[in-house]
Amino acid sequence: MDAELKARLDAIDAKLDYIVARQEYTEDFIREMTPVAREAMNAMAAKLSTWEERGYFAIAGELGGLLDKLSEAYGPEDVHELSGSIVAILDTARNLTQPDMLELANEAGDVLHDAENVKPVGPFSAMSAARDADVQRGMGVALELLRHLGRAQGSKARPEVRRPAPKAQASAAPMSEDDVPAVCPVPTPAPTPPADEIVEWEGHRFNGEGFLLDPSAWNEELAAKMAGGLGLELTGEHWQVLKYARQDYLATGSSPNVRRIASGSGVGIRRMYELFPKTPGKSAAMVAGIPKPAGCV
Amino acid sequence: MSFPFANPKTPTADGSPAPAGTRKIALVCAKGGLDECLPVLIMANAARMTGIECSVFFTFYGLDVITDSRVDHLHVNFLGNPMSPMPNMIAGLPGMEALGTSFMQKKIDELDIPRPREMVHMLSESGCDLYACELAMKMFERTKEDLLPEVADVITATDFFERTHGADIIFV
Repeated sequence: MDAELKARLDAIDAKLDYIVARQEYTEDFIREMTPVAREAMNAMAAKLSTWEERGYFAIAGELGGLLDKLSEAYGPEDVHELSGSIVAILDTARNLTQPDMLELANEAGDVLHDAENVKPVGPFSAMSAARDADVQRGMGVALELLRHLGRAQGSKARPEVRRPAPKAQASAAPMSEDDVPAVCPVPTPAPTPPADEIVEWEGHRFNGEGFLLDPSAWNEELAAKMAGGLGLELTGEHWQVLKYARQDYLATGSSPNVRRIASGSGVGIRRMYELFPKTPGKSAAMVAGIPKPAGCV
Repeated sequence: MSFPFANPKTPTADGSPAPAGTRKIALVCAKGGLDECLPVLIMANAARMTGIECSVFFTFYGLDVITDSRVDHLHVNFLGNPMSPMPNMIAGLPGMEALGTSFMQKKIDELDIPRPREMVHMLSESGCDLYACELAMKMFERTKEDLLPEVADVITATDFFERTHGADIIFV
């Protein structure tokens, strides 16, 4: 029992020794540190008073006021929107703070500072100034800047192109009167059937305008019938014209028009208009069983 | 069954005058350049071939087209023409007009488009009425003897409008 008690007392003694030793260290530390701390406090106070003199605290106060104003002017929604364009803002900030940009801004500042000494420039001076290489470069930059400005503005200002919704039946069904704009006069439909329509008559096939589809199927009997349909009675001169027209078509591959028939067949233009009135080229080609002449003289 | 293409527009066999309501045009040719008068002549001819009644009124420099001594010497003007292939600086040099004209004339011949003299004859033959402007005749001091025989009459602008009653007037 005594042995156990003694061991405990020893342990307590050792702890007391440790505590006393720590206390002594602390006292030493404080004793030693006090002058140092005093010095530090003095230095600190001096520093603060310097800052005070320099106006740092005033700036900080103002900054606090600025933050107040910011929070007044911008709500949380604005900040949310801002976060969306933060990348663009940062990009802009980075671009603007590049050394060359800063140098440019500096240059511009210098120029504006000296602006009082710059002489006014008239059109002729402007022209001669335009020969200066620096001015030319500057103009290039300015133009590029303008182009970008215009593009940015244009993309904002350009109205959206509105297209009318396509009508599903528009291509299939014929145009109804409602589709025709009020200001546009409605054209009267052509009385002849469309040219691509195929019409059968007397066992022969014709296009919608009445021209024989297969010129080799032509014969004089058919020609006489067709001429009768057009109100013509074929005479020797008519035959002269028809034979020449066919011959010319077979030789050249294209239907002759009035001028060529008139000179080739020898009947003359005036007589052509008498033989095949109003539309001599077209009528002659039709009765001759060859395609509609394409030329305009 | 008769030929199905005999529509009302089809002319009568005896060449009787066109019924009322027939299309009519009246062209006014006021310029004498080769490139300025040929369209008039070609359009007039095409109109006739399509069965359209047509008259042409030649006035100011258009008179040259129906003047015997000048119809074969119509030129193309490349100066001041924004679509001309020749720059104005060069087109203004002496001889350039003749050079350009010969090039164009060659092209026109290749396409078998008749010369103005033949075109005027063709028009007259096809029943197109060709008129000379009386005032322009006085201005340029020309007489009817100076004109091509195809010209139907020398009339005033008022006469022209009266004679082409009902026609569409086209000024070229």
